[in-house]
Amino acid sequence: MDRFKQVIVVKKGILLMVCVFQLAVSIVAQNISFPQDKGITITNITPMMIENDLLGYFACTSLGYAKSEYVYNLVVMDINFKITKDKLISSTMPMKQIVFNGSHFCMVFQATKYVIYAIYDTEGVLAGEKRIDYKDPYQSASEALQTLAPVPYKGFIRLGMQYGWDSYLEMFDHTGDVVWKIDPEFYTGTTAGKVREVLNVIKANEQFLVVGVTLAAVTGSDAKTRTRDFQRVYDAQSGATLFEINATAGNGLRLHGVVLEPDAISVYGAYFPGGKVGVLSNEQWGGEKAGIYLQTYDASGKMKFEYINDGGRDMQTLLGKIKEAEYNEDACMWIHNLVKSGERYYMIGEMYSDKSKTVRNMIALEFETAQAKPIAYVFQKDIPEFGSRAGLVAFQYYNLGYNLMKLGHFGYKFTSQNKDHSMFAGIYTNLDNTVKGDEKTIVGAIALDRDGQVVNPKIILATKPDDVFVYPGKPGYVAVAEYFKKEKKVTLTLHKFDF
Amino acid sequence: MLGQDLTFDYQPVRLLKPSDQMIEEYMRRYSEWGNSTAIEDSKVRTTFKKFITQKSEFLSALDSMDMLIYGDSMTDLVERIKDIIIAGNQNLKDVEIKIFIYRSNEANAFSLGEGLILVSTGLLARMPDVSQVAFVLSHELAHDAMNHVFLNLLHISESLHEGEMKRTFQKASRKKEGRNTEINNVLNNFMAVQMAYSQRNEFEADSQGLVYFQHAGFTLDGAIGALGVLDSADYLMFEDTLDLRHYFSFDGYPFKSYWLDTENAALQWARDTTLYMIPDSLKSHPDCDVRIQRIGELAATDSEQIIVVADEAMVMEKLKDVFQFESLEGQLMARDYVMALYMSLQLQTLYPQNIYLKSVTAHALIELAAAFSRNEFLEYVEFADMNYPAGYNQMLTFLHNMNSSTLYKLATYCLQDKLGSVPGHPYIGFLNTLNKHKDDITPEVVNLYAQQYKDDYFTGLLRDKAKSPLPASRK
Repeated sequence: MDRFKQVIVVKKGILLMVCVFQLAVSIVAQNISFPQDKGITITNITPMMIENDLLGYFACTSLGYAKSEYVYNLVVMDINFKITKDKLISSTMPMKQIVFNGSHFCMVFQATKYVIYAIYDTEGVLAGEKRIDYKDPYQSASEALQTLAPVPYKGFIRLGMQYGWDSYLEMFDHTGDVVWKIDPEFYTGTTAGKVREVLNVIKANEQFLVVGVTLAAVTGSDAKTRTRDFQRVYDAQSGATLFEINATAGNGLRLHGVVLEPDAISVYGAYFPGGKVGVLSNEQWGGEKAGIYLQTYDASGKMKFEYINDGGRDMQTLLGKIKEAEYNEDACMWIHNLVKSGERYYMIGEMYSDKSKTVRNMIALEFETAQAKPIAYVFQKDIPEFGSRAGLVAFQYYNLGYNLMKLGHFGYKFTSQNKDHSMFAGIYTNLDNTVKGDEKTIVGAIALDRDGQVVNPKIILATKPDDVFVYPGKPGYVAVAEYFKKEKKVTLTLHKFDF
Repeated sequence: MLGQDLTFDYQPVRLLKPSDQMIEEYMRRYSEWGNSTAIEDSKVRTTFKKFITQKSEFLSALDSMDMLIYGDSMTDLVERIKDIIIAGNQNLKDVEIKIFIYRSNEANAFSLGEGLILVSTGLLARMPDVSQVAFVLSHELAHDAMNHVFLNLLHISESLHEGEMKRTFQKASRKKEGRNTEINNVLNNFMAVQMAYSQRNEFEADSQGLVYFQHAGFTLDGAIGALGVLDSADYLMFEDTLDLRHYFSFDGYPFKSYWLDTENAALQWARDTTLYMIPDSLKSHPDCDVRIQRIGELAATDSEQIIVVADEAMVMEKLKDVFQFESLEGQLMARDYVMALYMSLQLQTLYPQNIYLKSVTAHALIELAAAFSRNEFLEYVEFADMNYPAGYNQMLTFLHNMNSSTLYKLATYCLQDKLGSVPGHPYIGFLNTLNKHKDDITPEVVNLYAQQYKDDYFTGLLRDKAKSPLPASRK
């Protein structure tokens, strides 16, 4: 309860009222608590993020099944975790997923032979509905669980199911009307026989739709094996094909992420010279070093900017001045995010080493758009080992970083950026091992401050939780959920970085 | 404090407070309430005793935080007004009544029972008229005379253990669907009953207080004026935005426009205000409009012998701003550094040369910077909120755009540019020591300060900081 409401409650009051209300006013600014009757817990809050912009949080909780209806409570919170909307939504069907696109929620309800997409605005008002009928219950079940991709502020893209290899992409707006539909290509007469495209949405905004395309042979000796992967860019307004990007294994490029800007698309990731992607380890690869790449395309598909670091000499040039302790020579980089501020790009990454089976320091690379060589910043942290995780060593070297990311070995959590993009903070967690037996959790940030400096502020948690989970906050802030096993207690606390 | 030149400096009345014997005596009396009351039900008696303990602890906490003021010219004034009321009401003559003033920005007064009444500096600062203060005191005297505090505690203790309440609560707890909502409804209903009882007592105190008030020779407009002040006193006294560039732009460190960037403090969505409203049924006091209407109906014709309080009015006028300075000191004592910073800057619009106000500004900046370094910043600095006045939200916005180094720099420039030419001032000396050593105050630093300035209060503050150094990992 905030200060002025406390004043209202105890104003002119006698002591009795102070006694009765003392529990209600004991909440300090830093700790976040939620109304008990809303069913909101720290495990069911979803950040509402568009790119790196945090818009708020929501929680959609099931209140149960009564009178032939499933009842859900949609609670919308602002970036300070204060409730701005609280609505009950009921349906005769269970909800399978809910996705937010910046202005609207799309809730997917699944019946036996149809799927309903219900679109609600942030006031909880139904804006539109879309019903997809199926003859086969398995297809409706499958569609309801497919990734529903948000198109910021415009609509959503669903993956429609058909028999066999047939699936299609369809964008619908907030009223549920179809904006466009993309059917996969079907090639015949290739050396591999009949080849079919399998589409997978990577990212979309109101201008571009980037889709991962896998060409798979469906007949002949290579049936059901993939033949080629690449990325295809569509016009998100019309669904028309614009151009292709080949950030692919064949070129030695491991795609880590895509950033969509007005009239530009950037792809970034790891570079494996020679495209030797089949090897299991760095050793098998003959000790070759993996590098990194960044490519930026304009709206016509013309490459505007390219940075390729071969991992060998290029990496020495880039990191040569970094102290030995901070840079492990055989380390690869997993690039978690690419952030743009003004005309500069910043890669936020984390190093890992196949040789020592460790996840290593945080790294930030600052690119002047017109400048080929970036400036590197390395931020030391505790070096945990990942080698003990069963099965991990068997992954292809090319995919090791990806699997480390998926299995949660990296410390990086998320990046948030302010509206004018003058500052950002990439958040990671780590351990403070300076005092043996008294390890503390660190929440760190690779941040660009208001003066344009890359800084590394840290918050050392005074508590000793058994588990820590970090929620995105607005730039410079972070909400930390801490689990205390012995006390059976979970707390959520908002912190502000000192930068 | 009368006689201080506020245009130049201010010395808070830190040493004039109720004696330890006084506080102990009241705590002893409250303890007797718990021991000697004839409540038969043991559970009710235990709950009642718990409430009494809380009451004693509350008084003790206010005293230990040095929030209470007694024996100064502010208390003298309020005591004189009380004496006027008692002089006009024979039935109050044998009652022992004591008034403590407490430092708080809120407009508040309450009776604690046993003849003890607490009045806040925030209330006195808002009431320009002696008769308005007289009505507030009459109201609290009525609470005391009608034993409302005791009866309220007894009522809530009995209600908590009432069989029907327990059954309803257990029934709600057993529900499978909508249990939380049901429990919430039960608790709200319980609170509504308690608040209705409390509101009834307030009407009674208004009614009886009005009799005391008019018998003393005050006129009805004073009572209406007092309720009018209370009605509009939900907010800070100062609401306007400040020209922060004026205070925080220096030759060597100009004001940066992003310090007022609202993005960090702004809300992203239109708030559903209904979610945060407290219904009238859950408020301890009736709406002031209703109270004004009621006393208008109850009031007798004003006495022909209207009391003349010219001397008191003159003292009150002189103390008007002193109440605000003491409220400000209270914010510092309560470690509400944001409010202290805000009030010190607002008061500087009235007293731009006042050394105390400039010192409080620097003090708040240093303490907030230190809180930042300790990762405690958000324990002190809230986010802007639609319920807060524009000026306070601007202050919060400004602070959310700071970091510890900027706050320390601003404090340093405030000390150099605005206070650098004042020699030998203990408060400024304290701030310079704090700013120089930050969280590393050692006993040697304390001794050095004590020798140079010979000021017990600030030496004590430094000593407290030296006693609780931060662990190495937090530095």
